[in-house]
Amino acid sequence: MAAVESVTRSQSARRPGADAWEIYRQSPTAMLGLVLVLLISVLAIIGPLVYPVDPFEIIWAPMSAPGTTERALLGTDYLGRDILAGLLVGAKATLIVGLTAAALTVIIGLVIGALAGFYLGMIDEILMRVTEFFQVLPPLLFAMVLVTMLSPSLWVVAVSIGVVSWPPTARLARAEFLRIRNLEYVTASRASGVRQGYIIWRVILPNALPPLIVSATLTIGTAILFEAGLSFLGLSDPNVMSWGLMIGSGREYMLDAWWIVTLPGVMIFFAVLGVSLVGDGLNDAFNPKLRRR
Amino acid sequence: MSVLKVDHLCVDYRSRAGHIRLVDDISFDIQPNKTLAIVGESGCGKSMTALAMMRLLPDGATITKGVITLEGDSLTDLPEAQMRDIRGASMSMIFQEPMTSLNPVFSVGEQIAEVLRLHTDLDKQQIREKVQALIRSVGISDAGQRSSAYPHELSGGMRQRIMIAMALACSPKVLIADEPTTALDVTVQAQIFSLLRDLQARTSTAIVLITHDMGVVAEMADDIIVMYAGRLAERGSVETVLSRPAHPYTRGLIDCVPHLQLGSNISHKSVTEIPGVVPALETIGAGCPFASRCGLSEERCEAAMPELSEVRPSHQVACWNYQET
Amino acid sequence: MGLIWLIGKRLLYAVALITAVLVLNFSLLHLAPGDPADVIAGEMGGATAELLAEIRALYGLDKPFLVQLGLYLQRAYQGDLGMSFYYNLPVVDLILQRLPATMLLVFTALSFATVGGTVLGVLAARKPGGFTSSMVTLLSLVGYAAPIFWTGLMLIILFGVVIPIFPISGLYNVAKMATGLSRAVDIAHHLVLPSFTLGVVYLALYSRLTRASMLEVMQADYVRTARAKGARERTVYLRHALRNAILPVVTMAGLQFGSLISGAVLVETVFNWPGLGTLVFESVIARDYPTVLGVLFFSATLVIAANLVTDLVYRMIDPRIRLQD
Repeated sequence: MAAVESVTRSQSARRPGADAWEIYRQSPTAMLGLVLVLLISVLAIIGPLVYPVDPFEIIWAPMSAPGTTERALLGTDYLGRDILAGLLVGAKATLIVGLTAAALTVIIGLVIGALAGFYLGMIDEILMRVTEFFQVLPPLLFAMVLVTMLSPSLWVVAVSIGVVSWPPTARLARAEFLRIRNLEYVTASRASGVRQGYIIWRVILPNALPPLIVSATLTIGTAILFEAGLSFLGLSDPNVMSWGLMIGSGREYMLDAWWIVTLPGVMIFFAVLGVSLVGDGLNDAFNPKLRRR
Repeated sequence: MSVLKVDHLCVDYRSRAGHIRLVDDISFDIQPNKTLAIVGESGCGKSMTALAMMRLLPDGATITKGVITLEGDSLTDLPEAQMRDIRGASMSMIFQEPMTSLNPVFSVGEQIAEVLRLHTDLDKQQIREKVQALIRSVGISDAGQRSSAYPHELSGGMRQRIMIAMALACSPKVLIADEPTTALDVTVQAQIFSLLRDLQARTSTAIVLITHDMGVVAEMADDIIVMYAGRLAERGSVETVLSRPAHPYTRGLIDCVPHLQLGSNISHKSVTEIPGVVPALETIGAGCPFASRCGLSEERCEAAMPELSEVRPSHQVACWNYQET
Repeated sequence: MGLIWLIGKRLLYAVALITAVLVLNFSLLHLAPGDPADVIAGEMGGATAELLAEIRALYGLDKPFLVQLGLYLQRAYQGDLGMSFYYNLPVVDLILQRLPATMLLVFTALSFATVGGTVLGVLAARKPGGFTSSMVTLLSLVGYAAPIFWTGLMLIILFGVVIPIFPISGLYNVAKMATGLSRAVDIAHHLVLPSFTLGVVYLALYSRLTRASMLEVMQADYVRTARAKGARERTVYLRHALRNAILPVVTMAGLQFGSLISGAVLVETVFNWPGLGTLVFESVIARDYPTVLGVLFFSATLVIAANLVTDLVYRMIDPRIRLQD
């Protein structure tokens, strides 16, 4: 067992995190992504504390443009609710749902892909057919159906997004496990009679992590977009402020008050942009040789 | 009367990291119906010399000095459009990797036909006939069927034959063959070389054969130049150079070839390796680049690069203490 | 013969997938909270006892689960996906009414994205550090990060308020009552913004993919062979490289058909485009479950069909695939 552990460790020591960070740090776009992500996280966490305005409360005249009143710096929506408060509180809902859904996506995809890629044969055949089946269903449409059939709560939204978006992760995990399972150190640990569960999660997984981490990062971006789409359609919890909901409910008034739909969209844009820049940066950092041109 | 003449050719590679001389002051010429071998280990600049002749150097690499003339016309300052008319017509090239050198999405017949369309005025029917004749001429039977085959349906040897058919489609004056058999089985190698010899006998094409294998040289070539780290080490007729090599590097290369003797097995004693590896080009100083691997190395070898000097008529070597053998 | 056998096999698998979607639909009807009869009636509140009894009899809801499933599948294969209680029409009729608008939108967007993306990608690959290349990078980041419905709304503000040159809502101008050619022009005019909104996301992606793929393919040995033949740079790019570089784009376009339909739901909602997307949105709001599930079923069928087509297109472009299966 100790031998296996040392093999595993030496494999992961091949790409020390310090090197990856060194490469990551040198990319201006990757750093911009990190700054965006940190900024939005900070907004979501301490924003509502510093600026404790209820985003559902009517505080001023409806459709006041940004900068026209001190009561609402970024203006008010069609009911006279504070847009800035909405953006700050909405950040939390969007990020929580995005992160939960992404975590679910990765967990489902990883388990299915790992089992398929490790055991192959019948298990692989069945799991891949299931994956293909899920890929046939248009993801947003399927999520809409699930949310409609169940109830419009944040949890249901997050779970639905996870359920519809795992297939690509499963395919990636399967490919990685297929590649790694035949490498020498895996054969070595098999020969030493370690449990299969140990091989899957402790020997192969750590080495399959870099591409999975990159894909998980990008999944967060996609999940945020899904959440925004569902709330835009009015299918998420109407009692929780989110960016998508602000756009969806303000839509009818946008020709008169552009800021109602524009500002929350800008927030979504920067959140997703930040996450995807981080993903690209991580990708480059983990595969310095395969640097995109 | 030489058909191709390379005069003091230099190729440099420029990148942000600096600039390296890949080919340094190489000269040679070649007669019709003759084969010149360019020999050296990988990284010695022989492929770059070949690509420079075709003016197909990779990005960053350029000809910085010297002249290449084909039948008296300089190629080095020819406009690209005119150079295109020469490539595949008067001068063509076959490559090391027949597996990847053919385009996977076109049939091989189509790929041969493309050369004819580019360089001749033949009509469709004539091209079809010519393609089949070419396929037959490289020793492939049922040309009609084979011409519609895709590369992945053919073996490596077959693909190299197709490459040869493509290269010879317009009866070039010069054929450059860059390690044409390295990727192939030994038996297939022999077939490809005998095919090249037959075709040369029929067409009088001059062949520039790039190889690292002295056995191949002995079998195929009339003249030889030995390159080391982008420079000329030795030059002469194959007969002279193989029987009386003057440069220690040439001797090393010859000793790498196992000698088969009648009545005995491969005599292991005679197979020796040259110690060390070709130095990285950016580390080469003023001295002889081979000095660090050379058994005869002395102080002046590290200090300055030896000039090319005459050992005997048409046999030259660049070594401070070459030995007459 | 091989191809027909292959298509047959794929069709069989497609039927299996379609059946699986139907089973999923049926299970969802049963998993939804409350009495399935209520669910089918659409929780419209006003569902009378007679209506509920009628539904129970019609759907065999008093029978065992598997029998119900059998009946459901049988009816589905006969083209009966139930009744929409909101529109008071058979679901299939309703979908067939709306399908053409969605197909028009999706295929216009897809053509725009694949053709535009390929052209941009090829241009960008010509100069990796150049302007087009930077634009492609920027576009792909923006295209991915901007929520599609928001892009649509921004375009409406831009082209509905600031520069009103495109219609921002609907499939055609009802007031015009145009016919024939002028109706087609009217529809095309209405199509511009929605198809641009939907297509630009994928255009960004495909241009980046084409660029990366072209840069990789341009390093291939067969590209060097094409140059050695004397082909023009344009021919090398468009004939030899692009045909190979397009393969990942074809794969991607096929894989993303489902996501394209998802995008269409949002875009149709934004532009009041009378297709399946607005239908599903309206029926979700009205809790008209048979219609919602009917659209899910139809979309899945479209994705399955798109996968079949992709498979055939891929086979046409890449001869290497033809041998397999």
